[in-house]
Amino acid sequence: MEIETKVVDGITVAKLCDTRLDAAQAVRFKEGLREISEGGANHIVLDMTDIAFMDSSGLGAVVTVMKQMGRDKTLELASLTVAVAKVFTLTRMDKVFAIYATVDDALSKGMKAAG
Amino acid sequence: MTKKQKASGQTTGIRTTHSKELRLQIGIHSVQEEVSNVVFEISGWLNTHCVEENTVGELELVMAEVLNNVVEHAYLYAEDGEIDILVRLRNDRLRATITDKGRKFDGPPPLKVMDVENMAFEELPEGGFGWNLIRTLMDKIEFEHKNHKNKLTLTRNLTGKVAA
Repeated sequence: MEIETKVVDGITVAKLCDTRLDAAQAVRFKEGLREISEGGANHIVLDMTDIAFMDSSGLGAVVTVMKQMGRDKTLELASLTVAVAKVFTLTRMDKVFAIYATVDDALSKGMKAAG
Repeated sequence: MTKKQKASGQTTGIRTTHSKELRLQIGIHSVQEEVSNVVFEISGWLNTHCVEENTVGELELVMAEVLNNVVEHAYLYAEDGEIDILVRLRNDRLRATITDKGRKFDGPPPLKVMDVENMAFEELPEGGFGWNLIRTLMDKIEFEHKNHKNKLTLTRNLTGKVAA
């Protein structure tokens, strides 16, 4: 899975350049994010604009990445499509993650710890 | 023959006139990429027949959960397992039947309480969401194991119109 990154004020925005985050993509997604995190990104905003479909394997992969990053780093989510947001809501994982409507929202309202 | 040809080669879109029921029948192998492709194909087919957009998304999710379970638990990721999918669409309901010849399935597990809000960071679940999603999104779940086959039939009641 191709992931584009840019750094804004110490926050790494990681954009998933794919339309699906499912069982077939989960391993590649985790590898990609681990590389970014181990490369020194302590605060990551995941830009999910392009992800039209996510299954529970995809959700599990996002949880795995957050746990691997540990409590001292942050992983926040932005720009979820309706279908993706629904998976978070139905599993109540929307209560666990910080989720923002847009990447700009995440950068301005969230991530205060990063500044 | 490529995977794609195999999948589409077994696709039928036969309309059975007597019951105004549309059928989509597809056979795939127990490969995650094939699951990915087939659920996308099913959701496209449902869109074509005017099933409401959000419902299509939910059904795509349910099909992915069921088929991923078959790949993982029935065939233990062996990529030569056969999975047969039959989707029957009527005005008032959709029924999907998924059949495999893998390890015997004990039947759908009950709804499980996942109190994720009160879990410690380290305890957060990385899986085990699938059956809760299927139970939440479908109206009826039937399972039988017969002649060494697992056969799961899921029904979702529909309110919108289905254009044939």
